[in-house]
Amino acid sequence: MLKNYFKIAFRSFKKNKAYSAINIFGLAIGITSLIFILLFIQDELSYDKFHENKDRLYRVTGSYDRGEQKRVESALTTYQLGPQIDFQFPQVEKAVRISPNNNSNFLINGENIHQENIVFADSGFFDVFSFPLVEGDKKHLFKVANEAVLTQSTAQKMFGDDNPIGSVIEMDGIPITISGIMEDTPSNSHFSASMIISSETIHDQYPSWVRDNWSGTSHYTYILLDKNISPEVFEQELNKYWDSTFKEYGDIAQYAEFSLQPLSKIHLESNLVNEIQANGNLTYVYIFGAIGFIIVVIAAINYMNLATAQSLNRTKEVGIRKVLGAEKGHVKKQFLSESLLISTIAFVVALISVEIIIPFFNQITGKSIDVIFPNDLPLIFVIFASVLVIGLISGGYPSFWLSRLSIIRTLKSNSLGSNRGGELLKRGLVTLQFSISAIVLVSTILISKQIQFVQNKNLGINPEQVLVIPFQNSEIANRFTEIKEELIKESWVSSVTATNNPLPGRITNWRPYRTNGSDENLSIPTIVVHDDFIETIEAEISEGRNFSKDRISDRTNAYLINEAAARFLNLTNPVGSKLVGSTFTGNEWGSKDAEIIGVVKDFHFTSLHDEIQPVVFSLSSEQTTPLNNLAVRVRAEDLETAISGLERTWNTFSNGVPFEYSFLQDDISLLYDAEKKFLQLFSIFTTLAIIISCLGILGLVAFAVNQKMKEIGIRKVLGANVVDIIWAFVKSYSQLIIISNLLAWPIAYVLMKDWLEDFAYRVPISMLEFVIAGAIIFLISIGTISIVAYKAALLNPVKSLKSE
Amino acid sequence: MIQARNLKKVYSTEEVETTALNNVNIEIKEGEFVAIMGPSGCGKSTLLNIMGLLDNPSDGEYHFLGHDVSNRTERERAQLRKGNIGFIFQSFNLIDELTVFENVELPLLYLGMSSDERKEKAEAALERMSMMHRRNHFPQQLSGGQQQRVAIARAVVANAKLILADEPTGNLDSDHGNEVMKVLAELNEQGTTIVMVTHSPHDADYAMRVIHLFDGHVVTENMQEGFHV
Repeated sequence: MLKNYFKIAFRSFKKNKAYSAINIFGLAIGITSLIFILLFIQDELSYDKFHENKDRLYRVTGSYDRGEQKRVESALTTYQLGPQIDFQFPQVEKAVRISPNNNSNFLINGENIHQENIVFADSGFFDVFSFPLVEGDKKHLFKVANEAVLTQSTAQKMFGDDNPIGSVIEMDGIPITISGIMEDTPSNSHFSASMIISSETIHDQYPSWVRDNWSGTSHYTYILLDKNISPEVFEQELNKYWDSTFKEYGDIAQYAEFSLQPLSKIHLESNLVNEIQANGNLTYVYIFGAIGFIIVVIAAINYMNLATAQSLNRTKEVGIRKVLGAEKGHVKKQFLSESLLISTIAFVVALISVEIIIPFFNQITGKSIDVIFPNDLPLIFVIFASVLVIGLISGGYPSFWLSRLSIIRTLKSNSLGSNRGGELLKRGLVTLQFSISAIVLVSTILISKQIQFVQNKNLGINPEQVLVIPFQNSEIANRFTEIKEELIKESWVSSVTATNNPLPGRITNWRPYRTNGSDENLSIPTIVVHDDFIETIEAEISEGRNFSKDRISDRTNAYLINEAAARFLNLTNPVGSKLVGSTFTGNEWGSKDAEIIGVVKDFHFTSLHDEIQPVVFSLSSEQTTPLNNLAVRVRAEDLETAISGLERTWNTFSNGVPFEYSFLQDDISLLYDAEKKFLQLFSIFTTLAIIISCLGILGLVAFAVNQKMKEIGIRKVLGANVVDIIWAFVKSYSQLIIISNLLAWPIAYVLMKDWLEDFAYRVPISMLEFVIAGAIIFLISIGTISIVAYKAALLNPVKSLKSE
Repeated sequence: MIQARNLKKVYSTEEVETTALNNVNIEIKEGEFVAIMGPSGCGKSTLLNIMGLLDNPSDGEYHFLGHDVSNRTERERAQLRKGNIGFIFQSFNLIDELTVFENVELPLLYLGMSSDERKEKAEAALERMSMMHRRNHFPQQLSGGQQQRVAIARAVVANAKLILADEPTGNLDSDHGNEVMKVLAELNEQGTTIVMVTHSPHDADYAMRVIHLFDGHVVTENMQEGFHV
């Protein structure tokens, strides 16, 4: 019996090739999207789950009062925290500090090699985290200074096929012995590393503000908690201990408040200042989950609509079968098995498409997901099961309807013309489909508008033609003045400056300030800049004057502040006001009693997610923190000459450290990387949703046309022209499309309003986006309908009338 | 075999009620060949549908093979129909997606027969209708007469006791029509009861008895010359 069902199913596919193709294609698109979305979600949810101790592994984070309106929630803690926990709390099995260093240069067999992604870690790193060692003994690792474990890729890069164990490499003159090889850190770890070096190695290099600071933010601290202790209890104990013990070390220490973050929640749920690497976003996981579900629903609706429409052509067959002894159950089973067959074929097509598309998917999402078949059989099984459910549900209605038809009616004519209940359901479902399409389209338009907005918004500076070059080590930084002298001789250099804070980037050095006569200290983010800073980034001075090279006193007696700082300090006439601040060389505090000489027009240091911080600009001097980044504005004509010229100059000062640079413009653009990826994925799924919906309406109209051949014939005999006939079809569907847009708009509005809340600076939602989305959907769908109707309208009426 | 008493069939839509059959009394014995004649819309097909258990009468009694079947569910009617009644239609009603063999085999499938048994019976039926050579063709590849022969093979494949034919020659030219009528006559000779609706007096000549319907009533019942019940 089943064989007979499948046989007839296959033959009816063959007979209705276009219909079957639309059906399978539509469903396959839906399933493919679903698989990708599940892969995405699965990968996002898998972060840090590979650690054996994941259930009692926590990161300690800190909340700090820096005198700003809000406390600063940071992923970093003081260097002191880890050892203190280890020493004071037996309920913690092990505390490990790590500190990433993105740029280091190594001397290996006489050759300078630049290496990114280095992590300094305490002993116990390999006990707490489960990064498998390929070589080396984790019990003895990192007990002493000057040890390193390389990942397999790094070992290959540094030593080729030679065994690196026991080899000695040099980092800024410090010899380091390779004592282990680990597997590469998996892509679903919230931090990655190319090599791990024992913390002890650089302990002596740390300035005192790192080593002896009880409220500093320099290291990430992870703890492995005893099984019997709840994190909440430990959190309380830790804060109590910290408060009572370190109050005496000045008033700043007590401002730290620690919390525990389960490791497996960091990737999706943590969004603190100074995250070790960019995290994911749980909202996006929800959004993609919803989109996956929606696309499958649209595809299933399509399938159901097409199958119902198509079933009108199969009524005669049902009648004959019933005459020959088929019962309702037989008919239901037959059509359900057809539906299952179609879903299964669509599933196979989807699997193949997934395998083909995976590399592109990885490119867009920045993930590294392997081919899923046969690696991920459980996932495939789950998807196949859902596909079967989709097949059963969407094949359910037509099979139920067909099985209930009276034999007499089915045999009387080839088709049954109308099925009022079914017609209503179909129209309802089409409306739903197009509503969904409209929602996602409006969202896409708004998301891309916002991203364009943040990228093109006048940042208050001109980031074009500015190259940012990290000094990489203090020796090079110390030679900045010489470098600058060399550079400004070049014709392609417009101006040169340096800062201690990376650009772009949130300013993380807070310094206490007092204004005229006030004895209240206010903490304000402070950036140390060199001469020509304002000129190089092309910021504007809105009041007063810029730092001047001709006035030596500007080095020690002048501040610039931005407008936000003027507001924060409550200064109506900031220029000329006294500001009592402090300086810090990294080792020594000093005071800087100076005058505000000018106000810089607010500009964005970071992404538009954040509001502009109040900022104090202090000119670099002997008393300030060292400079870290060189920024060069070059003239537009010849970028290549500029870059190679910069590299040449760099090489004369760098002592072999390789030249690294980036364009400020690109760095700013990178701030919106997550949003851009999101937009890319979102647009793809939107396009798919619209395509599937249009395939659906195409199929429906094709069948409506088929059903109405006779009507079309009669109308033509009575004098209707082609336009009249197309119009008749367009009219009946255009109402639906308009209704679905109207239904979609309020939903899209609420959703997008919520999404935009995430940005401190955002585009307004206007009627225009809705109208554009509506128009696009209207035109595409009406176009689709017209093409089908046009073909029918051209038919000779004699033919269509005869067919009845 | 068939006893109908005071059969009534009323079709009603929202606004009109149409009486298709009114007070029809018919008795058909096993082995008979009965033709039902009458103008379009007189209720011939309705009567045939009720006799074939495709439909229930609105009123009256209908006995088939000794069972009162006037008011059975679709499922019960289907059970009784299977294997007992074969149908032949004016438009053949073969399933286009199935081959000749598969079409003939179909009733056996619903009777739950094994594939060997189905093959044997379907081939025998096709042999009987001289259609074996076309067993792997699809209906559209055959002439109308051939299609109707396949339909007859399908009607007899399960050894139906009763064959109901609704204008079996209506779509055929006279040569093919005659051929079909000869086959039906042969079947009748071999013991199958046949009830046939027809417009054609020529076809009616093959029957033993002709029932004339008009506006839902039986108006006359004629014994054909040369036939005796």
